[in-house]
Amino acid sequence: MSTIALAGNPNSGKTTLFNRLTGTRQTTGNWPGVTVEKKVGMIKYHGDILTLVDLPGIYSLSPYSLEEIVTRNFILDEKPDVVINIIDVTNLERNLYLTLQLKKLGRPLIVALNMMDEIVSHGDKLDTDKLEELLGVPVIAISAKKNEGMDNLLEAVITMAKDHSSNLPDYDPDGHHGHHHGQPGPHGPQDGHGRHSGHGRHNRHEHQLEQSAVDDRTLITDSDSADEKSNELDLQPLKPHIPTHEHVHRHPDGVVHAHPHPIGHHLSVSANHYPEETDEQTADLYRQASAIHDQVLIHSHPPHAMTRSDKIDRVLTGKWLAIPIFLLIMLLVFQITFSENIGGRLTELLDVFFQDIIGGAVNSWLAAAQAPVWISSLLVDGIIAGVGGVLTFLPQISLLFIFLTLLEDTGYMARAAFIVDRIFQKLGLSGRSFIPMLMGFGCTVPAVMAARTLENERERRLTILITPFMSCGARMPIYAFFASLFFASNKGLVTFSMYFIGILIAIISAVIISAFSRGKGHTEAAFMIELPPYRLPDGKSLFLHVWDKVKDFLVRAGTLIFAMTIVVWFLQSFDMRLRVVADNSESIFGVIGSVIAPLLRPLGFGNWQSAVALLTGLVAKESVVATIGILFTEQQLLTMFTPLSAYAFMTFTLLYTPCLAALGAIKREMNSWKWTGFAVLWQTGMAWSVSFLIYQVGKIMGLG
Amino acid sequence: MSLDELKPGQCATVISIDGDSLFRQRLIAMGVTPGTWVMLRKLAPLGDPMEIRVRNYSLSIRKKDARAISVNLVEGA
Repeated sequence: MSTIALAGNPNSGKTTLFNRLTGTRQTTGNWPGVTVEKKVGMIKYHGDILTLVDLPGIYSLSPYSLEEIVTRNFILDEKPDVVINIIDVTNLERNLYLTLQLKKLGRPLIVALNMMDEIVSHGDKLDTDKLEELLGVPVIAISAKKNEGMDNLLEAVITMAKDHSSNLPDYDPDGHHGHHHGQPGPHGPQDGHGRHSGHGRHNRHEHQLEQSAVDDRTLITDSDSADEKSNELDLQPLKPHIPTHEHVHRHPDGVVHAHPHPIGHHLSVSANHYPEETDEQTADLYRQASAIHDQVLIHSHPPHAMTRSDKIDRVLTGKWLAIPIFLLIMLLVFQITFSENIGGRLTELLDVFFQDIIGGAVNSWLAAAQAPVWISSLLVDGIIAGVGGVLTFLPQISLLFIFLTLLEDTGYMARAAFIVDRIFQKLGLSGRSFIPMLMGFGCTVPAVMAARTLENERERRLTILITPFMSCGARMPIYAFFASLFFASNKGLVTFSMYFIGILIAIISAVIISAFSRGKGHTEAAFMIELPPYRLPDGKSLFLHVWDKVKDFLVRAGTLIFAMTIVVWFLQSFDMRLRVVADNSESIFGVIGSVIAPLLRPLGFGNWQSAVALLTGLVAKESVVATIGILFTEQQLLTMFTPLSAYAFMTFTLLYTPCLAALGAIKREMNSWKWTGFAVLWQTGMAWSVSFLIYQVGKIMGLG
Repeated sequence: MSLDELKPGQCATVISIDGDSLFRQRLIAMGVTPGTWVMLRKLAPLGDPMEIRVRNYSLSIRKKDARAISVNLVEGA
């Protein structure tokens, strides 16, 4: 089975193409040892089965980021049979820079020209034959969004993969081996980098391998490489440079290997493993890209003419309207997600479904079967109350993910970062911090991972520390549950206030922490973000992305939360000697809870049930609701909590340390136990202090 | 002059970039190489950062970082 890699710039339509080619036959995981997302999918096409690996979206192979290192290492170490490089033709020049770098890695390459329809609608023309000739690799025009050109692309990929896997010399940039692309033109960037062919034809090296060696980097060459150099056949007209072969090691078989090396999680550390591409080398590749661009793209209008995207941008980031529109969009997202009318109504329907219909049916069925009481207690009070209580919030969580994906896919997310950067700068953050923070409303884990795009250490650390204060989707059930019990008439407002408190505490934390870290000789961070053209989102990609998140939530409800509810049910039904207790305050949980409870007394919820609910929330925040649902009946809740102490409890669950999965992500991203410990202490400290303030001040004001 | 001194709509060619090396490397990798044409598209609503047009795409950087980019103003472009 052939392995195909998909590489390209961010915003080139790579994800859309990946989804087109693989549909739902894809799995998501991480690259080994790092938290860069890895997606692998299957393509079935006319009896051929291919594995498609989605490489991270990158601008360059010059290894300054984990994404770039992951891409390079995959191509060099795993040797995919074909690399598909997707190019956004509306941004040809910069995309070609990556293409030229990819070409140098020496794997069979196919270029997929995406967004060809946009070029045509601008009235421009792109000469694909010429491009193929200049690049010396097959070039296929596609439109990932409109699902055009997929057959051509797949056929080219399969032909190339078969050529490659049969014992013929693999990919040959000169087109000597039956690929239908033409000879490179005299000015074409032509680099000889065929692999060892088994034909006795030696590896031809780029001229620059010698230069790289001379550069006295950490280049390691085998003894035979000197011979290979003398066997070099081609003198390239444009003398392309090998950008990043510093850790390259040539095996006797002539195959290029990247040295296996530990990927230091730290960006700055891992970047040091690879000396940088020289400016002149980069500039040279850009000159080639520019030359190709000029030869293949025929503009029908002056280069600075306004496109539709520019006109939209003039409004959305214009001097006067940008901020009101930004606030309006944020308000709309939260209003639609959390309002009673849409998200809330769907949630209510599900609640009725789980509690009344399913719960009722199971109850009466068990009664008819004369099942023991403990079974109905486990099923109805434990699992259905717990898992059902969590599943109820599926519609609101889906809506939130739909909006987050829409903001990202339309290109607005980058504009939001552009608009708020000035404010975030004052807090010691960057406009780019806005993206992880907004994602934090969905789930803290990917949000913390997204902070990686911040290159400055201090900004990244600060962003990671405050992102958990953005109330994630799993905390939503807690607010909804308490708000509808204690604040029935102001449900929306009370829920909204939680989000507001979270943002406020994030800002306060940022100001305090950056005031302390500022003195310590930090370097001023730079800010850089691409503002991609506005585009209509692709429905299929949107669906697949949201489905991925929803599936995740469902799987958690079916596994982790399910298991938790059984554990909770068990711990509250039995005592230390494993006897069934009549009063669950004598249960194992009762004992554990009453040890912690005194710490929570000043916050207004010093009962053992709240204490253990908060403990189970460490596994997953949804568990807080599941546990409360098991431990309390509604009547009990109303006597144990006042609206004030319920509010203090909600605030505590908002702010206290995030779930273990999020802590794991924080540990991986910070690469430091010290900072992870600080995050836990800071967040729990904030939770305690703010809840304390709310409860005590509220009591003084006579609200308790 | 440096890039931050351009007015919205003005074009220039890049002469050199100095300063912090990672930022500099990133800029070059994004195609802001010596000799490249850049245009200042606009400033963000709060006055910073700025949006520049380079190699037919839009890139946003802060004014203080743009100070490190020396440019030649292209009159009347």
